[in-house]
Amino acid sequence: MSFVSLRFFAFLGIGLGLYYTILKRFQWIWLLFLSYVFYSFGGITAMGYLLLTTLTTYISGMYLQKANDKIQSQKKDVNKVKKWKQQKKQFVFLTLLCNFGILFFLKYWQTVVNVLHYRTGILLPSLELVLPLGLSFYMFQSIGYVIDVYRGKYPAEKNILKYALFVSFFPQMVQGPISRFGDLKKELYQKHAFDFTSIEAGLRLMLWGYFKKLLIADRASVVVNTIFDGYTGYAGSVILFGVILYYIQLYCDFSGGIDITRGVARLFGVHLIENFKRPIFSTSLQDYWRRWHMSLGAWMKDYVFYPLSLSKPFLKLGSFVRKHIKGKAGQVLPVSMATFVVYFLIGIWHGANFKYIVFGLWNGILITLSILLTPFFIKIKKKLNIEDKNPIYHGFMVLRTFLIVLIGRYMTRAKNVTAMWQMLKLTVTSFSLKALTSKTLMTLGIEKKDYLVILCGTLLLLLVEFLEEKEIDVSAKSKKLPVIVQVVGMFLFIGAIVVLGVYKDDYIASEFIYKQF
Amino acid sequence: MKHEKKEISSQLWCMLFIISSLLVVGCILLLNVVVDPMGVFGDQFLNWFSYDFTNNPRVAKITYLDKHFDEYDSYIIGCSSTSSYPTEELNKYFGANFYNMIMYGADMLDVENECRYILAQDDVKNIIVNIYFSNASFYDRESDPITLNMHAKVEGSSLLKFYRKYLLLNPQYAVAKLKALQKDTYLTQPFDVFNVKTGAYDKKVRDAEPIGNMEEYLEVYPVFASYPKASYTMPKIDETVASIKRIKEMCDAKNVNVVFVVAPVYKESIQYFAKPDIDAFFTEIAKVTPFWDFSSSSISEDARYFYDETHFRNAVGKMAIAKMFHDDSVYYPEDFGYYVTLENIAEHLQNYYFDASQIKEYTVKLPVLMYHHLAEEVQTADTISPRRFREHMETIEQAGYTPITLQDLYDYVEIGKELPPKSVLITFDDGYESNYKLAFPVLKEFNFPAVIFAIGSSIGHQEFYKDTHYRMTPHFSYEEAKEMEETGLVSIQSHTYDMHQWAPFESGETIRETVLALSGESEEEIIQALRKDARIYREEASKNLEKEMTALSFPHGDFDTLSHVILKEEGIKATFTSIEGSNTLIKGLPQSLLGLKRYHMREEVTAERLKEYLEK
Repeated sequence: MSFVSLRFFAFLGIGLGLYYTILKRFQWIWLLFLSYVFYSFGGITAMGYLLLTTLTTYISGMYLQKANDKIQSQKKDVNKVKKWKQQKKQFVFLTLLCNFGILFFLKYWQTVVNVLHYRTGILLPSLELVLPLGLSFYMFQSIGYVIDVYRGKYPAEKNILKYALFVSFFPQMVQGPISRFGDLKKELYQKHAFDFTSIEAGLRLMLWGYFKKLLIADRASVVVNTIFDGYTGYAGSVILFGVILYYIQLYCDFSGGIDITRGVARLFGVHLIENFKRPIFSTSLQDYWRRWHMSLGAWMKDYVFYPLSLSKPFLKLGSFVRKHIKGKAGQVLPVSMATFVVYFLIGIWHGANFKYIVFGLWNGILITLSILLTPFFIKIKKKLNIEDKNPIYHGFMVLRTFLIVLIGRYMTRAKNVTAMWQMLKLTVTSFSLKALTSKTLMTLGIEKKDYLVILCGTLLLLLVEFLEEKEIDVSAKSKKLPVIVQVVGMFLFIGAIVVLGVYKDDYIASEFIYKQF
Repeated sequence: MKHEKKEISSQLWCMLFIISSLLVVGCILLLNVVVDPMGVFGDQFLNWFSYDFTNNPRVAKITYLDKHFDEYDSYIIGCSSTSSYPTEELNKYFGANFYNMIMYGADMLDVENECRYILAQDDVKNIIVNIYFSNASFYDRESDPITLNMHAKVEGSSLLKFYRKYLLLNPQYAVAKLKALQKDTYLTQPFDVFNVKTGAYDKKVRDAEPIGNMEEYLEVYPVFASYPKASYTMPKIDETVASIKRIKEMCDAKNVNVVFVVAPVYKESIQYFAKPDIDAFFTEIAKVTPFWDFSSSSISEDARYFYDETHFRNAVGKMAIAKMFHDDSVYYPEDFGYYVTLENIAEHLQNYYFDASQIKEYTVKLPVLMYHHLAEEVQTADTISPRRFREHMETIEQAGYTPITLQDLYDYVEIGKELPPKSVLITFDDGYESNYKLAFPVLKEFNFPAVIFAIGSSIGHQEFYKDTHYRMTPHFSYEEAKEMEETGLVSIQSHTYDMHQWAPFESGETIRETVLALSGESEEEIIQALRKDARIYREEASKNLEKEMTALSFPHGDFDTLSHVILKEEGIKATFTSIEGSNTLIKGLPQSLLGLKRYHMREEVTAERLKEYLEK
């Protein structure tokens, strides 16, 4: 069910109405029911995968809890503890294998078939697998839960229905954020009284999300697709224009979707964690990854980065390097290796393509370099008498980060490594600003007014985010305006979303209609 | 002290949100109902159905007809080529009031549904169903739910859903209609292609385009020069013929005369379909009903009989109707149209494709000569000496050319009456007295017919330009004109009544030297001027010459689409320009009488040059 369908709004209306009235006493059960209704629109197979993950991780959690309890009660018996610990490990491994196995199978089966056919001529059946809605998000979320229980961070959830709600909570089924059981359980299971503050906050988030997604991202995507699909026909300036639009599109689409998600959850009184924190204002690549898709970053940090960099082989590698090479290398190498692995994983999570290895390397190398060069930069800054708070220096860092991220965007969006390399090359070798004329722009799939919408939308977005970055509460300020101004503003904003966003696809000019015949 | 403003409460904010949202929805509803871009709600305020029909002919026509069913008793239904059967002709032959129910890309289920809806009305006399090859390719096609869908009333689907859809229609449709309203002109534009009264496409622009030789036609319509290649199958024969059968049964049950017609198809379009498919399709239809087949004939061979790849011209539709009624007073090729029955279908299919080698001549080249003033002393470029004029006449005679009358010209195009092998048309512009005094005696001597395009306001002015004291070359009088007309040799025709003014002698504010709009003049004003000029001349000619003028030569040779359209509406059948060149007349195509080219007959045109012109 799309977040932009009449059906969704009807679903939401009914869901909320009953949630705060007659089903007040059964709120979390109602949420579970709504979530499964929502998910059932994705088809019966998708539902099967959801149930499979829910069941395996639930059972795993229960078993691990039992093991934890045993270890606690049999503390003194070293052998038994060892045995339980061993079993715990095996169990976690099995759960991970099962779930990641499904994920891998669904995502990469076709790639395996293609590669195998290309290399060896063996043709496996293609199976025509469709990735169920939100699969990787709820899988990451429930695996995080399993690991946390394994680590004894919190006790396992005994009530399978409550646990099922944690896995399937519908607003975040589409694209996350990846929540933690520890944060979400209270939110989901406690009673929520009707509260206008929550409704306001939810509606605000949703409006802002629709604005970013429907007005900006969906328009920009047309141009982005045109340029990336036919990059050989464009000058460097046009390609760069396409990449910048892609940067905008990706942010608006993803963060807009998350805003809608968080808004919907908020209507039910549920706070979901933030996933984006104005990444455009990042001052370094590390800072960027702390502000972009934060829930995935944090997940990777907790469940991949730290375990990896603190794992035995990595530590051994560190001491080996320390022995043989002078300086900080011994400290840095395990960290940078782990960093590389994280970005590589993030990359291949997006899809099976060699370009993601390049993407992982790009981020890994830059972050490693920045760690290595930090003392050097500090020296230079001292010499030049530059303070971090200096606005010019700050602006420089933001711009530099933007450019580095932008180069990374070539990698994530280009069709493959060859295309990515060609596009980068064309950007530099045949830049030709003259090629970026209004005439060219008109051939990229959208009209003048659409460019205007993207431009105005992006400027408004930047302004609001800039103010937020300065810790100015924009919504509080706007609520102090005269009521009539607020109504007109809201009318225009909602009208713009409806007219320029919701309706954008189903309009055919009458002249065009006739020309078809 | 500055007072800090207070934030509004969340409760109030939520109220404001609801109010704003309702306002947005309300505005959309209001806009859709008031502007009504698809004519769903009766287009009460703008009443611009030709626009609504263009957006969605299926829905808007039903809304329109619901209010106007009493004006019609017969209907022709089908896909877009249906439009090319002119309702005026249908009305004439059937003695009925036809409405053209053409729908873009209609399949036979659409036609059947419309038929059922129409037959529910009282007093339906005739139904004509137009069948196109593509009907056997598509049936019950999924189509755009906004612009190509049926009215819920016709389809029998939920009215609630139907109206909800159009109430919440993308407001851009309404905005586009309002914008188009600003751009609306008298001439057909892509956003309003329908004639509301007849239901057919408004072809006034396309039917006012001069058509001549094939090379020029292909330049304007290059699609015929490199016709798109395609091939289609006919998987929907059974469904389509089942619909045809039900339509026939419905009509028979109601005692309504029903005629099935297969439309003319351009030769290369016929090739899109395999012969066995065509055979099967036609055989199945013949099992259900006899039908007229116009699909393949000598008409299919010539692109000029088609507006575009798939649509035959209204002129061809007229021929088809005449053929159905065996009317010999209208031209149509002998091989055009075949009444197919179960008995003769085998024979028909055996000789289905037209044999291009059997084609009979249906075009002719016609040079037209343009004279002005005759005088012994040749002072202007447009003047010719009587000696030279006589030499020209002698040349024509010696070269074996036969000057024809205007009526001969019309008869060739309209009824296909052959012209003499080497025909030529002699014309004079302006209406100088010298035409009467010097040319007319020579014409009589040679027994050569000619056409004189006289400026109405100058007729009878011997000395002065209109009511001024400016001297000018004398023009003949109505008496002299009548004398010439009565011999049957000379036909007096229009050079406009007063749209060929001589600026230096005019004192008024608007000086019209041609039929084109003056700079800054609105479309409405020039249309009014053209109509007024035509009306005055019509009255004058009727009073003084007891005739109607049907041909016009453009002052200075200038013309545009608008002038052509208006003049046609004012009864002009043939127009003459000052462009030099020969003409191609085409039987059955009245557009070949428009924009005729003429050779300037100046003093320097020698006998040899004239012969070259004639033979070009």
